[in-house]
Amino acid sequence: MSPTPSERALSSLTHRVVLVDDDAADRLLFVDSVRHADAGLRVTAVPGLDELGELMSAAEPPRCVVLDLGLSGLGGLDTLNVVLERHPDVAIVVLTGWGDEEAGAAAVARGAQDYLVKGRASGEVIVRSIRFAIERKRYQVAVVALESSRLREAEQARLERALLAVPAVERNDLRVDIRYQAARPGLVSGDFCDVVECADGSVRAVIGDVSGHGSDEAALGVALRSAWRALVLAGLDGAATIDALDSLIRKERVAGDEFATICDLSLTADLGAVTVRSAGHPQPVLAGMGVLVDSSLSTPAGVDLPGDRARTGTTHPLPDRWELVLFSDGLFEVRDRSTGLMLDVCAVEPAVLQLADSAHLDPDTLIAAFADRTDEGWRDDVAVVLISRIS
Amino acid sequence: MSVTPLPFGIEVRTDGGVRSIAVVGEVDMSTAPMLADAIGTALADETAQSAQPVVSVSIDLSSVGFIDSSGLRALLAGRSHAESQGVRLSVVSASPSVTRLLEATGLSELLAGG
Repeated sequence: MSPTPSERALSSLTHRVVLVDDDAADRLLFVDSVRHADAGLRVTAVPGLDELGELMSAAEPPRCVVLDLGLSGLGGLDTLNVVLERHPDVAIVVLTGWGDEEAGAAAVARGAQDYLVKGRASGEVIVRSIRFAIERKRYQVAVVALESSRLREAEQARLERALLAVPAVERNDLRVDIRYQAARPGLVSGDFCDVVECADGSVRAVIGDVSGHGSDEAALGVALRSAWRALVLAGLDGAATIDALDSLIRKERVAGDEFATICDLSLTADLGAVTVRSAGHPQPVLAGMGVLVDSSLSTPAGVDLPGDRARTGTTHPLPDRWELVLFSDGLFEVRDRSTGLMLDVCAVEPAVLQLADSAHLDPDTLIAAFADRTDEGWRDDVAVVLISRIS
Repeated sequence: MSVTPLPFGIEVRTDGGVRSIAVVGEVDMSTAPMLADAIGTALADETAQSAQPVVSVSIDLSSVGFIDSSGLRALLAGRSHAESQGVRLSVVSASPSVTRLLEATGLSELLAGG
């Protein structure tokens, strides 16, 4: 039977192969028959697992281990388990004793790629088995990698959904628009936001950002966001809420030095006033009016508050119609192409005013306005919340 | 006019137990670990130049054009580390944009010498 094209392609590749067998005569026989059958397989033989370990830690380790299940000492499937554990990336063909094909099948079920009955396989059969084991292993490794990257993406999507809750606002005189944009697709960090209407008609909003980038920070952001909603629904005011989040982050942080900037807004039920409390977070911008400053601005949650400070917040009156923008620092931390310098928080207010004047203020146009100013792309995740009083 | 940001650089000076760190360039995700390392070096009692216990660490950010939250995290972690050794760590000088950021994050008081 002549080889198929894919078999010819396979047989042209050179691979290192190692036999583990404690019988010296069997080793000689095996090496000899493989060399005769396929010059592309560079085969060596060792008597035990210690010698195998040395070979596997070499610069160019073997791609396939042919393992005699009849090794003295451990023996049987225990030998296989050791090799699987120590060398997870190598293809394995096991050799079973005459009449012990069950052990071969069991070995394949555990993770070996193939088995051969010792002394019954010709050189050609051995070589075919080795080459197919290498390809099968390569395929299995690729499938595992693909699966784990799918899981990672799904995990990131879950985190992203959890970081921005669906706003819980029933009143029809308010519109809430939230946008979250990851700096790189499929990778979120710890920006979080939420808007909730309380039983008495007052409305609370939050935006925050956990320092650093990564899944741990994102998970911390999720914990803070859901805790914020729970605390607000339980009736805590802004100051007590931020204090509670401060103790939460101290208990939940992984690295030990994470902190979170948080800006909490309380709107009165008649929507006539807003109290801004910022723990180190950029303060919101009211379109046409400017930055709503919190004169009691405090340190971020998780950072010690200097002595006599309290998060009292600052209350601002609101006009009949208004648009309020909350944002994370990812929005403005971009390099301005005209100056070559990084923008800072001062760039947000004029951008909001300009868009509000042209009646195109929404989270997407605001994000696009900053994207237009840079050639570098985003450095950090961007969260933008627009709350508008529409009647 | 377009300016090229200064290449990142950091220097730790030792005058007995008085240590100072000068930073040039932008402190972001990629350079913050170097700032953290420099603070760690400054807080080590025994250095190549000195075997005296650390008394204070001052950080000069006047040539830093930009610092992000990773940089703030390095400063705050350094401050806690210093405090646990009974050492004062402070930012003694900052560029206008760094000053704005420290103010906007409520950290200027905490990180200032005082």
